[in-house]
Amino acid sequence: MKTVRLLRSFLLLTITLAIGHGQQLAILDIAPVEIPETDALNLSEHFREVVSSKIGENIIPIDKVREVLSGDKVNNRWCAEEWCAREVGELLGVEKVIVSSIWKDGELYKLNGKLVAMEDTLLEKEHTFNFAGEEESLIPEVEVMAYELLSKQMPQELLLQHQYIDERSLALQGITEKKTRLTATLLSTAVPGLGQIYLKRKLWGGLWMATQLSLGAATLNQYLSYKDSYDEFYVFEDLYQASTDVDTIFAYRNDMLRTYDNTKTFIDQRKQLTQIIFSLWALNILQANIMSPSTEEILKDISIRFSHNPYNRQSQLRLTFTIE
Amino acid sequence: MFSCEELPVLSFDNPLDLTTAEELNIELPAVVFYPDSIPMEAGSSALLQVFAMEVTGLSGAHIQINYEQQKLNLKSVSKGEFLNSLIDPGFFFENDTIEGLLDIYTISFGEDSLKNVTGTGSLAIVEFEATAPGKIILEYTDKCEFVDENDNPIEIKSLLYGVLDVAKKS
Repeated sequence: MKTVRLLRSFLLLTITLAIGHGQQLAILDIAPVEIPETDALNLSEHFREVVSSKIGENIIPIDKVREVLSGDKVNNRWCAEEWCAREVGELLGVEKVIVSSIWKDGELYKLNGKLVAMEDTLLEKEHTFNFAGEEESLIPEVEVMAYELLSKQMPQELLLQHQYIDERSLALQGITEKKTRLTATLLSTAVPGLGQIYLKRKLWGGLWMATQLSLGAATLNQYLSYKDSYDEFYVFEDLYQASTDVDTIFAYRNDMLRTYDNTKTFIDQRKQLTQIIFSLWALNILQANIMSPSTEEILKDISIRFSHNPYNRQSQLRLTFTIE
Repeated sequence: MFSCEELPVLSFDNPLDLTTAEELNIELPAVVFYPDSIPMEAGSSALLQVFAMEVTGLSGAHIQINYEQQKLNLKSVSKGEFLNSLIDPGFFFENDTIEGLLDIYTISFGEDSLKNVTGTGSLAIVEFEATAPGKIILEYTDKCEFVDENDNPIEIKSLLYGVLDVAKKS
């Protein structure tokens, strides 16, 4: 009994000394929900490693945290809320506490982290990120959470990894496919060919635009010709009405008939062109909708894009120099 | 823009149009008014020409016009150009304001004999003043006659009326 008391006093003394040397941040284990506890523990270790090694923050060793909390029969792995962080922070006597959780909700991994400053009643920082994908992606995402909570700039490689996971997640959930399809369809509805250009099918886009512009110009031309014929008809009608010479009357009568027929022809041709334009317009919208990539294609495109990122190229160059 | 497209109204209503006359089964030669319909206001005047249509060998004509004397005042009558030649045609008229009858006589003169004309042309120009609103009909009576240079009658197969559409004075 005496030994236990001595040990607790020693531990409290060690923590007090540690705080005195600037170890004012405690990072509790990540609370696991629907994921194996061992995985959560490994991720917690990685999280602390990033904070201490890569970001350079002084943190209280987790063993010490566990020992203090076990004295009060508290399992730090189940602490993920702000109130809990504050209670634990008070027990440990630190300035800041990070609590976090990972929840596997169906296909989604939901990460949540909170940085609580003991002196401030408000939450200093919160980070939430949900994604669909592989469990391995939790490793970089835990790193991202560390940088986000401590407001530090992420390394370029990690940022790209995060973007990759995010884009892939949206694609896996079918959000990208739906959004792309809707945008392409709406754009093609607004301007024929624009949806195809948005889908990077520039040839199709250009073709639709050129076709619709040509048909539009032809329609306008028919309309202007109609207007001319219409006006011309009434010019001849005035001349016909004003004429008292039977031969001239006959000539103007024929001119009226000719311009009337022309007017009718131009209207009919304009109507045909308009029908063609509307049919092609509908076809263009349908094509934009069908042409939109499937989730598999989007995932393939994401893989290609991220495998050719500038960061990777830079690494390859460095490697080449090393070999030489 | 395109929804405003419409066909022109096709109407061949020149009273001197031979094709229309044929379509309407109007037999020729005929005596017609040109124009055959005039919209006007009460108090204003309208000029109408008396036309002989598709007549052959015309040398003289007597035209009698029946009008509503309660609603119209005859303002003037002058000769048309159909029977013109080197010598002015003989031309005179009588206006019976009680019966509403206007008689016009015209005859062409050649140098040695009567001149004759063929085709369609104006025999006289009459001017009426409308005194009351309404649709006023001007009619040729059966007294109308055409003669050739030998004073032989030329059959007039159709006598077409004219309309003065008189609106109230604004």
